[in-house]
Amino acid sequence: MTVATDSGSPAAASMDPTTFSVVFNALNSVVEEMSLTFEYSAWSSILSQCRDFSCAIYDASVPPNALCVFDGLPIHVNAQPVTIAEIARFFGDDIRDGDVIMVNSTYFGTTHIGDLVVATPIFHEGRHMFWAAATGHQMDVGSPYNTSVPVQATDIWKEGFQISPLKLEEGGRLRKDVLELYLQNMRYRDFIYGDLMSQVGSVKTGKRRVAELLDKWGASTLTAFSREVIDYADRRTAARIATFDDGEYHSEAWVDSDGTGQTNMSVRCKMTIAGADICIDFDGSDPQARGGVNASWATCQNAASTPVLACLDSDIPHNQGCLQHIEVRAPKGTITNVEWPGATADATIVPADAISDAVWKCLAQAAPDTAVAGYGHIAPNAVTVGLDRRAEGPGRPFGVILFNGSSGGGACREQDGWPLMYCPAAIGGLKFVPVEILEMTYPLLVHTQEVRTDSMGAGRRRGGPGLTFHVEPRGTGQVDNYPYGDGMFNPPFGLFGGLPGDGGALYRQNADGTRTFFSMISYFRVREGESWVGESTGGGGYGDPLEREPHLVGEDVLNGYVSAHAAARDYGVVIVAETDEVDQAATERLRATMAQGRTLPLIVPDVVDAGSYYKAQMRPGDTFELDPHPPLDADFTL
Amino acid sequence: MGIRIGVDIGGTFTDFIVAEETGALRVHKTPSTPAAPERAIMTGLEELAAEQQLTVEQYLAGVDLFIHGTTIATNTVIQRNGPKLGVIHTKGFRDILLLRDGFKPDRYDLHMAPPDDFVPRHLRAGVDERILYNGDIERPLSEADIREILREFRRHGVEAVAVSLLWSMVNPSHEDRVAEIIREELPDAYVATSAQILPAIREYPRTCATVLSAYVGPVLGEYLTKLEDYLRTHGYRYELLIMQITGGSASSSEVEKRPVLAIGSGPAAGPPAGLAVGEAQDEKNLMVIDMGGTSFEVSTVTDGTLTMSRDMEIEGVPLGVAAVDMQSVGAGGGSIAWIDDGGMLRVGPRSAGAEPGPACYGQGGIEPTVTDANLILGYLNPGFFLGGRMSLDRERAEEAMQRIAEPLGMDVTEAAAAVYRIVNTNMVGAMRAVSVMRGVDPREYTVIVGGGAGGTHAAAIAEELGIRRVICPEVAGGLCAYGMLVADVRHTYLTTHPSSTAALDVDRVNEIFASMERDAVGQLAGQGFTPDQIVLTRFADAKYPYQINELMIPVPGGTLRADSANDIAATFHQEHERLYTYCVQDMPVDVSAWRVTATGRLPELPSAVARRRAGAGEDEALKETRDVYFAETGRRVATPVYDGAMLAAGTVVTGPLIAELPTTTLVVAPQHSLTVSDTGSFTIDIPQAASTAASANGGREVVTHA
Repeated sequence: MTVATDSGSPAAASMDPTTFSVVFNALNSVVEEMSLTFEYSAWSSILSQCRDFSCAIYDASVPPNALCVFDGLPIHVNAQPVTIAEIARFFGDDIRDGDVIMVNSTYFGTTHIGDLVVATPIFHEGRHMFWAAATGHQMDVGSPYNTSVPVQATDIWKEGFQISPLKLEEGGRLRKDVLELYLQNMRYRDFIYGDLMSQVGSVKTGKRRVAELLDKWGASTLTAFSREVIDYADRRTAARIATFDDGEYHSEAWVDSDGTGQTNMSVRCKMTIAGADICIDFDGSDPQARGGVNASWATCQNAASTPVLACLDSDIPHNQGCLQHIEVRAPKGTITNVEWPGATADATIVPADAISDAVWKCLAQAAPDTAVAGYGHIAPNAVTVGLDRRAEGPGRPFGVILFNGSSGGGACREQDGWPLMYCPAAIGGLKFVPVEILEMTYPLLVHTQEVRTDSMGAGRRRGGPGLTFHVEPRGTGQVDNYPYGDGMFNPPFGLFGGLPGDGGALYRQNADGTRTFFSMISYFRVREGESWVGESTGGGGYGDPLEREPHLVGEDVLNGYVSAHAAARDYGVVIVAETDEVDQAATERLRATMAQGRTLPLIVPDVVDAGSYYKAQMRPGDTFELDPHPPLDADFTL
Repeated sequence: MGIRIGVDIGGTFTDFIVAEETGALRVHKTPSTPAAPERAIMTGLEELAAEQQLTVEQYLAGVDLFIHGTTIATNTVIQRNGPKLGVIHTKGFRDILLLRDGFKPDRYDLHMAPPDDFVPRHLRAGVDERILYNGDIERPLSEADIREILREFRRHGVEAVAVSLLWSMVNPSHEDRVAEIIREELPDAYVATSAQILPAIREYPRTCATVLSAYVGPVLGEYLTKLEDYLRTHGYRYELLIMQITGGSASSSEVEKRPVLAIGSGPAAGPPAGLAVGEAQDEKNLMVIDMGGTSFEVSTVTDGTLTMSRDMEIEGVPLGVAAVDMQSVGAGGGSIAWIDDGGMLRVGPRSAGAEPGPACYGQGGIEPTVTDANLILGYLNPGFFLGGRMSLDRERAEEAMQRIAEPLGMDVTEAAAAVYRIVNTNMVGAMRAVSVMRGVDPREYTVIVGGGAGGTHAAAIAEELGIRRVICPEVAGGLCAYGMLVADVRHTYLTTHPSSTAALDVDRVNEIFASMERDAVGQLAGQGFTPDQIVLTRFADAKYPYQINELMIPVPGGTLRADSANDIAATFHQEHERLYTYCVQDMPVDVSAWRVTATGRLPELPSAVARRRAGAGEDEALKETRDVYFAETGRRVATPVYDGAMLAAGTVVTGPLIAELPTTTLVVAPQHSLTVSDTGSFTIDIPQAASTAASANGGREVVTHA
């Protein structure tokens, strides 16, 4: 246990290891129960099906220490303590037993306006000891734009109903006035209410369980545990980071567009690793954007630390003991750290993904065996809204976030990438709505949800595939789509000779046979008789494609992940058309030719705006629209 | 009432539990024959017959019920040695198995192998057809397309085909036609269609149930046919019953129609066994645990009903069907204790298994295991393990334990006590998962103990959860085989028919229930059940409008009336509030599917009272006095060790004590008391005052991590 001595942890704080382990497991069960309560009882698909939420328990210190954050969506969990700290700062000594507090404003520490945070203090013998908290992405935020991710909004007032820390329940009593004010400002009142109740139910469940543990073990045991679990995470984190190569690393990553026509904005990153500590500095990043692609501070330090956490052992608790090894700096007024009253509606998604990419690219240099190739960014998902006219009557407003066609993940040293990783901010921690549930619940008809050939980067290990997701409105008249994604102009990078993913595309199939292509952040209407297609990118490849085992390339061709053409072009593997088998001799010859005079780049692409797939897809008569703005009639009055 | 035989196939032995006409239970073991499991069954039957100087024909003529828990379906999936499979999807959706629900279990492990799609992509085809959510046909089935796909399947040597088209549960016509064409084009192929296997909404679980069925179906069918032929030609007069994952048994012909139900066939008998043991002592709220060498399983029984779940998996593949809600963790006698790189002591999930086994087995294991800890603490008798069939080496156990004791700054006893406590918390976590996380308060439950290691840990984990009573049956070590003798025959039916309580078409719903119940009663009557043995229960999958996840709520029997919609809604509101802390009273409730569970109740085994001999007093049953460590005392104390089998019914002894049974060892802590019941079970009562606070706080503080 020399590691512990080196880390200089206060040995006096130690508790016996058995009790530590018992409390550790008990708190994990508490947070899991909070999550299940949330998932099973929430109404909107984004929460109940897609799991766009996170639950945790914190202690009441300032800043709060996480006791347990195991079961979260990566982009939420390291940001939550910032929110809790803001709540604590705002209310000061006015925090009472039985309070339930809600907040969604990024200037009070949340990630973006879509993520409502609900927290309740946990008291023991009259003393505020802990917090139970849940973050959940809401179906609406009360924006003039009919979406919970209104990237087009250029300031906080256009963005939606800003909620500074607010007591929904005070001393155990529901504040009817607050609840009604909130519901009055939201679309889909019924299920916004159901979602809120389920979120409140989740934190109350956490509170009840922690109170039971306090009764059972006493406050001192849990207090000692909260110190101990931080030391524990500290020791394990330090040991891992110490294996990274010390030094200073630089990288750059890009945001496609901001919803108002600004394109290809840079996130610049300098990473310094010294011993067990990492400093990540975004100095030199582009000034903050007009549209909502700026990172809130909570998002920035979360998105910057997530790649580092993913290079640690996955069961290290992500608390202060762990996070204190990762210092994040971001100058105010850049897209990495917004200045009031800048817009942040898309913070957790678009700038977060670019921030994570930049950090990944540095880690590829510092910890090449652990690092991964680029993950597809969130795309080509949209918030889809309209009126369900399938039943008689006036038509019922509906809204849904469709993750069904999300991007693939990057490859790593040992493994090909996964499909449906969504984005670096989620790394697979979401679910999509099953097609049958989708069609029963909403007036939509899905034509395709399938792997897209050659969408991923080639490599010794190839990226995870992107998908084709083709949908048609049926029984609604029309739907309005608000995509809020990224990565089409700047596709997922390949690493150590691996190739990039293709970047994907997004278009509407028009009634006249032409197609209108859109940037990944945009707005477009789809009428009955038309349909839309999201082609998500696959992830980046890792290592030299010429080193991929020919039989694996052969299988990829047989299975339709890779075309025979791409097998020859990228992998130097020749497939016999009649038998789908690898021609060994021809492959050896081709590979020998291709290997001549070649150097393997560390990262491709290393320039901005390298995505060309969408351009190649456009046929005569097709058009492209960059960041179109919603018209005045994009609402539920139609 | 004749003889009942339950057969459970294990890795090493095939267990027969025979209930004689008197109610007496006997266990017979014969070596398993993994290559052809039916051979061990035949051998065992010959041995059982020979013992009575009978021929197999004469013996089987006296058998009324032959119930079998087969491992063949489970093993086919685990070993991946089923037929070459092709899957037919709706065009545009051939990646359902690859995409799953889109969730990656461990977000932060970026080096995880990509998801297992079970069937390679080139054998998953989309056929041109489409049915809409309301059953309307959007695109007719292209027969040319399906024949083309099947030609390709033939070229690749496909032996079984799973057909899972979108919305087949509201309109199965396309699936039915595809199945017909397969029979023409690939006459030798096995076919499973999703509307027949699991007619429920959600394409992924439905497809999984169908794919698993097609995968295990041929192997299962061949095996059951062989076994049935043997039984029939050797004088058995009834249908062979197979234990199902639903916790009930069904005739082999029924199981062959939905082979996915035969997965997990053996372990699923645990909960009904627990129920029978509990009911014998008037306990109806039960947590049934089974702790063996490598894993720990737990399930609950509430008010005499097995808890079901639709989220059970095998090898990461959802079963899709409603199954006994069983939680499993890697905690068993062989679980290995280790220290992670942050200095935390952990136990499992890695196991020493049977080879090399725990260090104390002396078969070359050097890492400390739970069994080693139990031996060091004095819970296990080195000379009487597995009922005396094996001896244990304490020195080797201590050597192994030293590997973790030293870095933790403990002596071996303290380290062993820590291992014991931590493996217990792992099991407590699993028990919480099936109780508190389902809105069930474990303190109102009684633990039923199964598995060889169960008795040694049961009272400690029960106490951790605030449970007051633990019952260990005589047959603890063979709880599952016993379960087969007592589990009812159970068939489940499901009709997808989306409705709202705001506008419930009561006539249509009555028709749906009537039709399912007609089928159910017909089937059970055909198997010889009389009307008074048949129990029908109804359920609805209900949710609020716009809500995505359903709750399965009970629906009253009989003819529904116009106002029954209100009753259904009220039940839902109540259940929603109980589970999720809130409900919305004025909201109508959507129902997506209607279910019927049909149970054929087996005649009860003859009163168990007769089974227990008078037995001896505690003095005569006392084997020795041993120094045993208890967390409550913080040190070793002289502890009486009894031969449990000798203790007379009605005996009450206060802990600390150890009771050695033929298949498990009961550890009874200080303040706990042991009662021997006249049903052959052993009950440990845990006084309420003995809370865990003492052990969590009062234990000696040990400085670690330094």
